[in-house]
This record gives sequence, C-alpha cells and structure tokens, in this order.
Amino acid sequence: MSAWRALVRRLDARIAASVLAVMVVACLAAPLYAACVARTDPFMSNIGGSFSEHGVTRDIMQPDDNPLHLGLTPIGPQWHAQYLLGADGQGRDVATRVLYGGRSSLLIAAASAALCMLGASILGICAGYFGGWTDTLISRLLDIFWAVPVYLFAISISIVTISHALRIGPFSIAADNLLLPIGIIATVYLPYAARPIRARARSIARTDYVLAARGYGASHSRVILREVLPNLWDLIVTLAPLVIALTLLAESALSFLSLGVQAPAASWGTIILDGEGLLYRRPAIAIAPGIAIVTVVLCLNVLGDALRAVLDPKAGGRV
Amino acid sequence: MKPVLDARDVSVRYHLRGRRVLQAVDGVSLSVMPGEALALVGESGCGKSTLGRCLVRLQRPSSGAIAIDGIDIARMSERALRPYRRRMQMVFQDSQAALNPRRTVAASLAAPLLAQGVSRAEAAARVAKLLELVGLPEEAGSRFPHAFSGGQRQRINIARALALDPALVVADEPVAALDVSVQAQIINLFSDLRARLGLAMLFISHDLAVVRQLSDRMAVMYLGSVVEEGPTEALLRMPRHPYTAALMAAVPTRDGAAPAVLAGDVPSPLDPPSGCRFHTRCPFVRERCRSERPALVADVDGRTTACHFPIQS
Repeated sequence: MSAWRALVRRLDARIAASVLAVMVVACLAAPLYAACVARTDPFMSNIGGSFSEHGVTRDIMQPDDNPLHLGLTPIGPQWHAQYLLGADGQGRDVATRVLYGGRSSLLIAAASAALCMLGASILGICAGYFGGWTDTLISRLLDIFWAVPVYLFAISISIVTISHALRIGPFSIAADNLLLPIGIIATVYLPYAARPIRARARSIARTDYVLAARGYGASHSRVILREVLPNLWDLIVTLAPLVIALTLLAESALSFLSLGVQAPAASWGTIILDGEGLLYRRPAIAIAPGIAIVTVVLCLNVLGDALRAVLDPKAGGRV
Repeated sequence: MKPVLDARDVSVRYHLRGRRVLQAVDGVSLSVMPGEALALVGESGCGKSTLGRCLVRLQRPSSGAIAIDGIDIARMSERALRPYRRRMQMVFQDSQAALNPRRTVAASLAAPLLAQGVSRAEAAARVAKLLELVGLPEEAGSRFPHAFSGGQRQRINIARALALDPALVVADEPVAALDVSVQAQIINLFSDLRARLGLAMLFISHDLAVVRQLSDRMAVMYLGSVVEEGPTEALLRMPRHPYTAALMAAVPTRDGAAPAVLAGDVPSPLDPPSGCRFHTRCPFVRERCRSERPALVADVDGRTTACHFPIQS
C-alpha cells in the first residue's frame, strides 16, 4: 500500500481530507447542534418568534427601517449560540439549516456519485471489454447523453418527474423522495465517468494477460473480475472525488431551482434560494451555504488531484 | 501413436473494407506428435503468430480442422472448449505484458487452476511445485511481476502455461525479447522441461539459431503457407526450397561474410502473387512458377517441399 502512504505524506491531501472530515462530522451532528446549542427547530416557520440574549428579549423579525416601517427583515448574524448566522425569511436559524442542508446535499452528492460510478463502471467495462456491437451501442448511447448540456438535461428530467411523481410499473416515487435527485444526477454524469473507464477497459482487454486468461479457459466474468477490475481500481478511485464534486454542484443547482430537495427540507441549494430575496440586507443567508459548497468542491478537487498524482506514476508529481 | 495436435488445411481470412480479403494463413496443415518439438519459422508478417493463436484457439480459424487428441476444436464454442484448454497452453513473447501487474505471481499461477475448477488448497500446493519446476524460489510467489527480470518473468509465464499440465505448449517467440545470455537459460529450461515432462511443443520463431537448439522438426512459412517442412537438422543442412536457403543465407556468420539478404519485400497478403507465392523474390524463378502454384510434395526422407524446382543436393 505504498500509494496510500504516499497520499498521507502529501500536505494538500491531508488538509483537504481533514477539512472534508470536519464538514461531514459537523453536518452529521446537525440535530445535536439544533437541540443543544441553537435550541431551535430548523424546519418550523418562526416568524412571530423571539429569543433572549443577556436577559434582553428580541423579536426575530425586525420591522424594516424604511420610513413607513413596512415589512419585516430577519435579524442578522448574532455571533452567538442562538442565531449564529442570523435568521432566514421565515425566522429559522440559518446556521442550523446550513448544517441540516449539508446532510441532504452531501448525502445526495455521495449517493448519486456512488450510483453514477457503479453504472459507469458496468457500462464502461462492458463497452471496453466486449467491444464490437456492445461497444457501439453503449458508446453511442453515452454520446447522446453527453451531447445534451448536463444541467439542461437534469432540469428537464426533474421537471417531468417532480411534477408528476415517477411511476415505474407498480413502483411510485413521490416528488419529495431523495431517490429522484439522486437518480437524475447519477444519470446525467454517467458519460463523464464511463468514458475514461471504457477507454482503460479497452486497453486492458487487449493485453496478453487477458488473452492468456481466455487461453486457460477463464470465463468472461472471471476475466473481468480478476484481470480487468484490479487494473481499473486506481482510475475509479481517482474519478470518485471529482464526480462527487460535480454531483454536489448539480444537486445545489437543482435545489436552487426548486427541482431537487423539496421544502421544508433544506439543502445548500435551497438555502441559497431562501437567501436570494434578502441578498442585500442579509447576505449571510446565501453566503454561508455558498462557502460550504465551495469548500467541499475545492477539497474534493485537491484530493482528486493528489490521488491521481499518487496513483499514476506517469503523471509526475511528488512520489 | 496419435498426434497431440493435428491441423488440417487451416486458413485465416480477414474481410476488410471494399470486399478486400486478407489471407493471413492459407491452408496450413501441421501435426505434432507427443513429446515432439516443432518450430514454425518465417519472416514477420508471414502469419506464423496468427496460426499459433488459432492452434490454441485464442482465435477462430476461418476454415480448416484443428484436432487436439483427435477431437476437432476449430469450431467449438468457448464453453465446450474449456476442458480441451487444459491440453494446450501458450507462452507469449512479451513476458511483461503477459502477466497482470496487479496480481502476485502466486495468484497468476493459481489462476488457470482455479478457472478449471481446482480447489484453492490444491492450487496453492501446485503453485509451489510450479515455481520449483521453473527454477524460482518459493518466496517469489508473494511478489509482483515488476520485481522480476525479463528472464525470471518468462519463467513465470512458462510456469503458468504448465499449471494445467498440458500436452502441448505453443510458444510465440519465447526468447526473442530477452538478452542473449538469458535466452540460453530459457532455452535450457525448455529442453529440460521437455525431457522431464514429455511435453510436445510448437515454437514460433524467426531465429534459426534458437530453432536449431529447440526443435526436432521445423516448418518454414512464407506469406501464409508452409513452403518446406522436415527434420530441423536435415533442413538446415540441406534446404530444398529456395526460401529456406535464403533465410539461412541471411543469418550473419562468424567469419564476417556479408549476409545475403533477399531482394525485395514480402508481397502484400492482400494481393498475393500468382503461381508460386515466392516467385517475385526467387533467384531460380522460371516460367512455370509464375502461373502454377506448387503443391507440398512429400519426399521419401520425411521432408515435404512446395517447389517446382527444388534445390538438388
């Protein structure tokens, strides 16, 4: 496991992995934060609510400071246990919602990336290993997917499925089911991961050791499992963080367009949407989940680059 | 005694764009008796490797029959073929490319046994014996292919080919990629294995020095077909086909005489010459050679030659 040791030795990989770990743990601890620190419900509208600080009770929604005092503006960041980052348009604690949002964002991103990598591996290996008609069929199908802009594709499927709830035979998937965004995002990124896997599988399928394996009577499934897959792992491991970064961005975009996670549940994308209307007066609402997204995507990219440098000796970099 | 391998009229044709046909192997018949070593000799591109791959059914011939122990495997399905795979194994030229870089040597050696349904325990025991058989230490099993030299890797490849205890090993240029000193070791290993296991072997080579040391009989191929076949010693001492003579003349000698290189290039197998395939380069060409294709004719001394005007001793 020299690759693993080389990875641990890299400072950039260590930092990226630590930051990611802290963010994941923080998001997982969201209920704890809500119950013990912020003492609030992240999903309940709280427009008439108030909170007390240093014995002073204040309304969460403050009257606007325009001459007529029309309308209400949520309080801004308090830098205190309660309402750390202020409240959103419905008086809910933004910090708590960002943590809860992270749970769904990260879950959807990771699950759709896993699904995407699984599907891409199966398609890529079949196309690359068997070649011929199988390859033509799968490759052209992926080309068609690839030809449609990713977000346009995702938005189209989301609109159809979310407005009608998906029914496949006896199975029905409700519009607010997380499986919908997971499946959609995994589908649109299939070609992104399947193409490099196909290319690698194709070159492995033509090696003498695969020929030798056929020569001693190994079945196709045995050859794929024992000869092809072990030589694909490094590629799959390298692709995974980059795919998670892409799926996270796609999830946020879909949620921002109300086509992903459905209210009152939160994701980083929906919180940005919540903050959009208050962008000038309470920018923290949109900026906080924005920073979270940028941090995770940046860390995943750094990690992906480090993995590639460690696993592919030809790519250069420190060893 | 029945031959281990008996190939009759094997042809490989590739259909290319525009209805063109590439005839890589053109009606070759060969047989190998148990324990016998046959060498297949020829220039690169003459179809000897393609033929070798057909004989172990790594590729399906376009026509012809290939009998292993008397059973025709030329058209068999992969499933039906599996038990016959045990009888014939292949050793490749590039020892590095022929071993999976991500599997230990022991795993690579056990793989043929596991694929043929041998239990893990039995396979492990057999792996230890195989390593000993090819002269590698037992601890070599836990290492990966990149930790070995070219010669050692070729030993591993030979061990894998022997794992299923085959009757026939087809070796495609097994020593061509090795240093001369290492070549000698591998050649000795082959001779030793043949003596100990009674293996029949088919060596594919372009190196007449290697062929002389390793084979009992040799077949010379030109443009997809066999032009001359017979006992190695006799053929090398007294070639009858002008092409065999030309191959021998092209070998550099110790006395510094310039090797006589055959004029011209091998004609394209897409558009083979009429009559005798060799007539475009033959120094003794006559009118009959251009129109009429010579058949392989057996002589009383166990040699066959496909030439209208063989060289007389």
